[in-house]
Amino acid sequence: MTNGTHHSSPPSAFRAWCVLVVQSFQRHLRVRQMGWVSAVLLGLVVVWVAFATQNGAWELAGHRARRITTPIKDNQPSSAAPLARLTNAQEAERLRPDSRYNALAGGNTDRFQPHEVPNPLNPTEDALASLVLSIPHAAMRSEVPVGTAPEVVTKVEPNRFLTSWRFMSYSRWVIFLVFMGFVLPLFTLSYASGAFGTERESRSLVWLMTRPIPRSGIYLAKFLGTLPWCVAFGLGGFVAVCLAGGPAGREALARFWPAAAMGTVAFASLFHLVGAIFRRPVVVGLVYVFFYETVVAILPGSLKLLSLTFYARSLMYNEAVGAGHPGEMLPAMTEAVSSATAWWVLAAAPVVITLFGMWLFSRSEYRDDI
Amino acid sequence: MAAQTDTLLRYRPWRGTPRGPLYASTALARASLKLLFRQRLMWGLFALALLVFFGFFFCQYLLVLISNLLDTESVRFASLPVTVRSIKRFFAPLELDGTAHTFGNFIWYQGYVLVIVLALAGSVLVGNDFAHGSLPFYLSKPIGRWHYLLGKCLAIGVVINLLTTAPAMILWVEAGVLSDWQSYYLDHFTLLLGIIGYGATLTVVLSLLTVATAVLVRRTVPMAMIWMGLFVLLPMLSRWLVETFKDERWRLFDLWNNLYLCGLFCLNADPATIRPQPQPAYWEAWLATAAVVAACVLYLRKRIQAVEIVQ
Amino acid sequence: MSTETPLLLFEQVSKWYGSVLALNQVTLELTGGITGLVGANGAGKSTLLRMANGQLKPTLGQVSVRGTDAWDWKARRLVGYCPDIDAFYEDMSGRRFVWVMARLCGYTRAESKRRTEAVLERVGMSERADRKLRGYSKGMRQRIKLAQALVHDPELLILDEPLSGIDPIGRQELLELFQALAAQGKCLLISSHELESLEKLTNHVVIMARGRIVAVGTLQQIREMLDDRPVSVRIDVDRPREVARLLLALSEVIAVDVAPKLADGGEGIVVKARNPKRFFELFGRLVVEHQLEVRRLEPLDESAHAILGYLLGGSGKT
Repeated sequence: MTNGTHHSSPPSAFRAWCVLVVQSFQRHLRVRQMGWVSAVLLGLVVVWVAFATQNGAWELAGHRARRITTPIKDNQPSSAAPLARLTNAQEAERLRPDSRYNALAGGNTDRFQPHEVPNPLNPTEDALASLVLSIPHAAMRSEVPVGTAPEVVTKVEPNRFLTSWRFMSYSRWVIFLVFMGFVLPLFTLSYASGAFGTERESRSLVWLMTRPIPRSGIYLAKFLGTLPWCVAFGLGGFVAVCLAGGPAGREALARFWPAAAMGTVAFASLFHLVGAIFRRPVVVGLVYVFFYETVVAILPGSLKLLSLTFYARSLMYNEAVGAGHPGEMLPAMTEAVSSATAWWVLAAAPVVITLFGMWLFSRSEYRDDI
Repeated sequence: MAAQTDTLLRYRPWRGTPRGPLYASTALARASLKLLFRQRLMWGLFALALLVFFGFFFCQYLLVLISNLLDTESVRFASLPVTVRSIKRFFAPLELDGTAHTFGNFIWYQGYVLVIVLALAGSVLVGNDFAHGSLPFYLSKPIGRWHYLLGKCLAIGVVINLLTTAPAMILWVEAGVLSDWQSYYLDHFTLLLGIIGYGATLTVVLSLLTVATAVLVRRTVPMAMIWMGLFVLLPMLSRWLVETFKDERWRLFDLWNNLYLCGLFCLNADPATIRPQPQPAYWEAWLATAAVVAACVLYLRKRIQAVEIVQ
Repeated sequence: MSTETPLLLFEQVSKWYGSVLALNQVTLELTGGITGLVGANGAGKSTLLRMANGQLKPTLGQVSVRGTDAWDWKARRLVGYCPDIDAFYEDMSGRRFVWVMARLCGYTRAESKRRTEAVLERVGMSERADRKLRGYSKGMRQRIKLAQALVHDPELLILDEPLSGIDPIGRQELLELFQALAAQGKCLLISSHELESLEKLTNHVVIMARGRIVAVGTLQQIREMLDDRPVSVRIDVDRPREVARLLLALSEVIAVDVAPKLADGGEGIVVKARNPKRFFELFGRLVVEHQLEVRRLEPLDESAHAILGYLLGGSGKT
């Protein structure tokens, strides 16, 4: 270092910055514990989704019937409980004229409401009732031979209505609830806020701050080094969850991946900022994710325009509606903004947030000792 | 000669006998609480918890206030007329009528804040001791490792009760004041005991769980991830498993639900009135909770026996 | 190397932490050589050092390194900083840590490697640098910290308590290293709370007390300055009048107040004396000869208190 004989290339701040990007990427690799916990949680989610898909959880047929049927006769409490939990397929089967007449013939009408019991003495009314009550069956099995078992139904390519239903049901439960409500915020929060959070927790930030790199550059390098992790677990989680979701999942992957990717980057930039500002960023982030985002999502009014997930969800909603799926199956999305707006906001948010973070970081002092 | 030195130095040796290590645990708990309440974030979370409490507090009052009105009458909210019936229907899930479910629901909702508070408490109280090497400082005192853990659990227990039991008791008092207080307090005295029972269960289970996870992962981020796994993912998962397999025992995966069931058992609620239905039997919930406690204790025991806890 | 602008310059620098005043109107100029910074714990040494390498911003005033604001990242090229905190990336080896630090200064791989080896050799760690940092002793950690400060060959080295936790042999080695660096033309600012260890190294010291610089210069200069400036000393004794008479007989004593108004309402005498060192020697003799019972002996002037503490040995508390 001190001998003048060796002529060396001068130090370059850009090279240092690039090293810092790589270095902050590797820091996360070092925290093995976090990797393990992430992998286990993600694995659990994926196994669950795969398992649910295998069991036809997103199929209309496999769903519990919306209407809870109560038996007319209360003297048989044992039959009450199972009856309340019929799936749509069973419910449709139950309401078919065949089974209703068979039940009447067998004198076993316990499982029917008064208006469902066949009334052969009034043919007009009975014909109308039969027609109405057989609609579910018709809708569910229009392309499937009558009498096919519900397990087989899921394997036969269903009609357009059923595909749509399956896709929206999958979107609602897996994408909106599990992915947007758990996988995405948790992983982006953990990794993005950890970029500065772990350095500050282990009081090693001073080593970076004494290097000849501009402070705003340190902020940006930390963000870029963390982003692959957020994308790996956020967007990677999305892909894994979609691939585990069968045909509906594959359609969701094709339709929603831009929104998921934009959401991941936006969240990552936000939580990176949180990590740079707060001493305990995870707790602040959790409050944001599980209070602000969830409360705001169900509140009417314009407050939700300040929620990042709202734009990602708007984008998904518009995409689904554009493909002809029933948008009203996605909850609380009636006030969705247009795709163009959502795109703009989601693209601008990371840039604005990161620029703000760079500005803030270059002005703040970081003291490790208190 | 000794007397002379005494006057010179003005020093009197302390002649008392030290109290047992259990007192050390309470001192440890006091110190931990001070540490926790120095965090500004903690006060923010408390404010959030107060929000939930005031929600219950004033809604309970509101429902009594409008109970004298007819269902079809309407009240003006921000110049929008709202019928009394829809207000009642809106608040119906909370069951703000001073029965067992009022308090059960309150603690259930408070759970959302509690989980975050506990993640913070775990990392501040236990994680920091490991990360910053302050553990030897405690263990060099004449107390055992269990006393250390007891102290930490006590501190966490105080926080838990501040968030759940204490406000629930205030709600109980309020419920009595809003109705005929003499008969309410007499008739529903068991409810007060039930609240205390619920609080005690929460205290034991959650403080042990917090300490155990904090000892396991130490850092805030993985700790928060584990908590979210436990209190967000597992409930989702268990709800779905119940739906799919039509077996309510899958709900036992959901620790918060188990604690809710245990609490409603203490509050002596009818199992058939618990939402969402179906629910596992009370004894099953107790068993699952006890299993969690046992797992925590066994884990802590293992870690404590290994000298590793220090490093 | 430009010589017009001073290497490190503090101009009327003050720093508040909330309502606590950590540095009070500090003005300091360094041009080269080794400077010792001494002061009791909490005197503001670390704050001053952190400002010098741009970790903290002054609330008032300006800190500059060769004319560049210390907060600016370019200034950090000229400054090597060895912090007092003891935290590393514990999972790295010492060699890897120093290498990464060199890389983060913007050197190529090969250059970083070369510098790392050279600097490890210099701090005497080249054989021991392959273990993980978490297993290092205090002294080894200090050496690694020193190595990373030296790795980019800075003009100004800021070392916060570099000698704490190092055994006597290692201490000697490091002192020699510091001297060698100074001989190369580097400027070193070394903090310590004991003057003794710095005295062997340098003659130029800065003494801090309560956020102020109370004395700057060579030890000799500081001593002379003290001689010229009389100090007030409070003495609590049993027979104040008799002691006052004895004290007035000393040539160093200018005045004695036998019934002063003291802040704590206690009783004692206040002596104004010049050449404090000589005064304390003579006073000590008086105490032994006349068997005086002295309950308290305390300079009333805060900065004199601190300087005296250091010059007479001890921790800064008389």
